[in-house]
Amino acid sequence: MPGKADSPEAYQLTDSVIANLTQLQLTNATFFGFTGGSYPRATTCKVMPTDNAWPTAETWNTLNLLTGGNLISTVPIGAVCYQGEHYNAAQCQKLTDNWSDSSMQ
Amino acid sequence: MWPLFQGATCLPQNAAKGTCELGGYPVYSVKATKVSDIQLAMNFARNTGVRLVIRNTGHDFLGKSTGAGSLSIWTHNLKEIEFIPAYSSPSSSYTGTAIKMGAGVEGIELYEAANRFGVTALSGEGRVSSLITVLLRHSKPS
Repeated sequence: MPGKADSPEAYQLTDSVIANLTQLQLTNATFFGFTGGSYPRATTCKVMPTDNAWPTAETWNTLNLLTGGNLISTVPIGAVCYQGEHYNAAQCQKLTDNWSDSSMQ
Repeated sequence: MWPLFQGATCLPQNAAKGTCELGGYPVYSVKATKVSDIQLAMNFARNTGVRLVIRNTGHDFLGKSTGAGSLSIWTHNLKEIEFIPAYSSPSSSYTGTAIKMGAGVEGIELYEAANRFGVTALSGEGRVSSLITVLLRHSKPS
């Protein structure tokens, strides 16, 4: 494979990797291949979270596994200020104090 | 910029008045640390029909680095910088010093690296904006 051993280029997706996924009989393996995807392109709208065709949680989890745990489910940065599971008064204060710092955003 | 494209949802200042919604934020992001992450995300978006956006520092003036209901490829962590003392472009239209860098390298990081290598780099506007292409010249006039 091209690239130095520990560089990002050392890890590249190839058709043989995709073939291995198919052999594992993952039902959603076709979502990860370079060709043969079933979604008709350019003629229809994008799939939105409220659509039936939105990928299942299991499919998103497969993407997470294939990227080595690199899938992030978005929690807006301001969520620490809202009542709920992400609320954190100290982080909220720090956020509002630094709100105009462009490198924080 | 961001209020226009993100939709001004989930602002810390508005916590007393409502709930935290995603608005224009992507639903998921792939933190790209290797090439296969990018390939997987692009294949996934193409095959599922999910909207794809690319985000580095999120400073795109036209808001292309965010999008409602999207999968984002987050390239900020691709920070490799490699100095190539004798580079020749494929068409040989340029020969000389060059720097090869990851998509997540920001202006200030390039300047610091170029300084260590003893060359001058040209960057874009902004200390913390990311670079895609750069021209280099050796620090001594030739």
